[in-house]
Amino acid sequence: MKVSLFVTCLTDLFYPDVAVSVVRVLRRLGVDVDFPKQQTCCGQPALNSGCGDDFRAVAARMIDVFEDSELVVTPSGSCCSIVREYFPVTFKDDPIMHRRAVALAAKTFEFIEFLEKKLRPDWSKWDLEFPGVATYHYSCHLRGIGITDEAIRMLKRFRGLEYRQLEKMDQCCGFGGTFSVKYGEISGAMVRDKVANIRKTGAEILVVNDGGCTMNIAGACRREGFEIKVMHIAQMIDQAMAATEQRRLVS
Amino acid sequence: MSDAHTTAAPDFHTRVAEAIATPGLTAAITRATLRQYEGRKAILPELGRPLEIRELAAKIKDHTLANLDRYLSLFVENVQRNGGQVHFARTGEQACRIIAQIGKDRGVRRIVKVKSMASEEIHLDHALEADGFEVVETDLGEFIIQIDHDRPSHIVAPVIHKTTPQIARIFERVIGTPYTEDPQMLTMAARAYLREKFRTADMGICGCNFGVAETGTVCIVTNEGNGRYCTSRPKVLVALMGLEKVVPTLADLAVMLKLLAKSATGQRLTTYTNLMTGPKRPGDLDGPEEFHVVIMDRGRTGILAGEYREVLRCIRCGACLNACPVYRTIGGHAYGGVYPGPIGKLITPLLEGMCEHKDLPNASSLCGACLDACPVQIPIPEFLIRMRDDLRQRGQMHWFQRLAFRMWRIGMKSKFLYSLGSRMGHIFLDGLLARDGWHSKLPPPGNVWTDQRDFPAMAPRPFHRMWKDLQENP
Amino acid sequence: MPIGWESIVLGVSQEEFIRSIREAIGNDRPLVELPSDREMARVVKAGGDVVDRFCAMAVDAKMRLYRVAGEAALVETIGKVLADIDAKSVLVTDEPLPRRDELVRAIRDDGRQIVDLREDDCAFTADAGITLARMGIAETGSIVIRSGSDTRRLASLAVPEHIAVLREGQIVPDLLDWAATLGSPMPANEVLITGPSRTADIELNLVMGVHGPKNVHVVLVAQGGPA
Repeated sequence: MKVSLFVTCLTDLFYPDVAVSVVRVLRRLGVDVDFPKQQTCCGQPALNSGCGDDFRAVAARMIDVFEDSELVVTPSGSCCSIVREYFPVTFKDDPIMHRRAVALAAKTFEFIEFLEKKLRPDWSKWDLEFPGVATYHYSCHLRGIGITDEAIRMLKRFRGLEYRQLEKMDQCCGFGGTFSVKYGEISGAMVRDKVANIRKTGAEILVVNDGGCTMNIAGACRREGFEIKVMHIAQMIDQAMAATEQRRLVS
Repeated sequence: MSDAHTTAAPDFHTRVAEAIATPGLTAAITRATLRQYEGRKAILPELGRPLEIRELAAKIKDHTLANLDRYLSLFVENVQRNGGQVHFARTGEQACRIIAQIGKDRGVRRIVKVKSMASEEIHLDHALEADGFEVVETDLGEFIIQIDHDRPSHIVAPVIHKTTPQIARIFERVIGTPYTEDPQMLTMAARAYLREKFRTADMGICGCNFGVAETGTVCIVTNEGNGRYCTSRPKVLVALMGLEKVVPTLADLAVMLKLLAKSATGQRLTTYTNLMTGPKRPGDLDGPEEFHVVIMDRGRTGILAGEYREVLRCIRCGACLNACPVYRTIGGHAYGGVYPGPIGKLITPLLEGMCEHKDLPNASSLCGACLDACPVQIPIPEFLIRMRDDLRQRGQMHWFQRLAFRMWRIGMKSKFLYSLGSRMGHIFLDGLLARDGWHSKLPPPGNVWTDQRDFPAMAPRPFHRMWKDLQENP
Repeated sequence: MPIGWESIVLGVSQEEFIRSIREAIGNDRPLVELPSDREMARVVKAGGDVVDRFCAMAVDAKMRLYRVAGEAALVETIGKVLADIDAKSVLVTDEPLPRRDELVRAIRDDGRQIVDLREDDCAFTADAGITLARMGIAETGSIVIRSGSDTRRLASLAVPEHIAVLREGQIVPDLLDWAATLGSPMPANEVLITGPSRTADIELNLVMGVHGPKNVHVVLVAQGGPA
């Protein structure tokens, strides 16, 4: 299986280690990963701000960049949902671009979605271990792409990991892209509520599978002086797989 | 939060700040909405195929709207055939005048009223009171709102922003109930007070959850029973109906009823599902002698004609409010209109003027919880984005933002510029301002972020520069 | 008075109103096809334990349910309910309640007053109201009350305790089945009652009997059984 990585601008610039983990995990699972170097952004900030024309220009470019990919995998649920839900809609008056947008949408997957729905690896072979106590924030845009509890199911596969459910797990953290810099008071109140609930779990690890949510929640934790390890599930799987390989090497 | 005035602060940001600063408000609203949110999620699976039934309901509404002239005509014909009278109001003022005239012609003095969002849109109570009628709101929550000169903050639960002690004080002050914080006793006090109003009222006014075209039936749903009183005891009944409330058949009504209460409060059905078709029949011992339906446009034909037609599918269940993190945080008053929450962010601009309410469609994180909850699948997030675009096309976007995104677009269309731009940002912004990988204070507009939380510095090396290594050392 | 004459002056004519709607919809109407029936929304099918489902849902909606094997036990059961609530005055509709004469006699024999149905405020003074329910809906546990010349709407509303008599054979599975029984002519009023009157407006505290009855007693008469 061959996939192209759509890294997303936030992950590219702020959380590149997440993308590195994605690549390593996929390769270990026998997937061929390439990286179309011309990629930049899915256009979400412009779309959300009402600059539909700027969005269309950037979306068109992305369609070009990933034209030849068989499959596209991205570690960010929100960017995936933009491609799947809004790329076709934005080109509804342009039949040719619409068709290309639909084609791209059909082959674009979010990372955990790709693992659980397309790849479906035999995890028992990997004997994944990750000691610790973790909780999980459900990023909003996963709703639009039909992802529900895949990440939680994955978390429960790690030996030694205690999973604690976050209260109001599916309530938005308050990022919303430009929302966070336009309606800061509301956004701030929302993220503080989210951090309060995270604190209540007593977890040492927060699993968040979206660059925007990560920035927002981690930034709020830092402001409150609350220390918690914020990880993408890809990083956890990567670490656990590396540990398994190490164990097997030694024995 | 009882205030003696009914006007809100003019500026959205001010109203939001007030709401967030009100102690206990977010907690109270969250508690109430979560209960209804969880209730909906728990009971919907009983429908077996809730998603398909929601799709069917959306189709029923879309079909009706696409043929509204035909179905509304049929509705009118059947109301009249059953002895009712129909009036047509283009504007809210016309609706108020029609209803006032009906009252005047019949020597009405006391009016009892069931909760109706449409009547709130047109400030019907004020208009009728100005004409000398006594108007009594009879839903417990609306009654409290009325006697306190407050405004409702939720479509279904109007006083979730009020505490029991606050309500107790209101009752003590206005209807002389001895102070008590026992909700049972307060409710019974309201019951006694309103019972006498029901018994002696000359006219009842209700809204309309659904108007069934095939029979000319007005259907309203309540839990308290005040809806039945208002529509059974007084001699004159007036039902105020937005033109979009029509459904074709009784079977369609059944489909809607299966979804409405479940989506609103997590109940299977509300206590009373009340179907009224014309005045009382000869021989009936009670029931209104006159049955009037006032059908109102007030901007709905504009929505029908436009790009947001699906907004008219709304059955006013409040499920979107209950799911919305923004609503949970700021409550209903901050929206500044009759309809709060996600649907309000669309309805208020569409009915009252998009440019005057441009904050509403923008103040959303587009999380999609509303669409997830909506029994008729109104594409609220998509419409909010569309409205933001519409506002831009109407010149409502600040030139700086427009310019910023033009430049952003240029940057994003070129890998070289994207790469260079991010590199410069890292060297200068991060290099100069960040400490330990974090910003605690960014220059505008970034300060809006850092006022609330820290902002991360970029990684020393972006992924697109790491790729080469990954190729060589997988 | 001519229908609606004053409102044409104060509002707009039907013609104009409908015309503006037609214009708003426009010329290329989207074709939204509906299925030929609404069966895909059915929750409860016919057959099986429709009566059991009704009972379970009615109780879940906080109604009090009394299953009686036959009409004879009906009078006794209602007598017990009236004794429990210590009803001094009772409203009994003129509807064809099973064993109506016997019921009325028994109520009087127990020293309770039967109010005059034709008296305007009778429902406001009675301690209990006894009505027929023309139908029960298993899907939701609702009883169906219809207006008519032999009853009052307020008989099941203004009284603090409502006693509804329902025959098991009148229970239909689903709301769709109920909808199919309505039609020409429509009654002036039909109401589905799914529990006692309630509110949670005061800080979510559930209080019953806010305007309508605080208890609904459904006396369910079995099919067959001793007459």
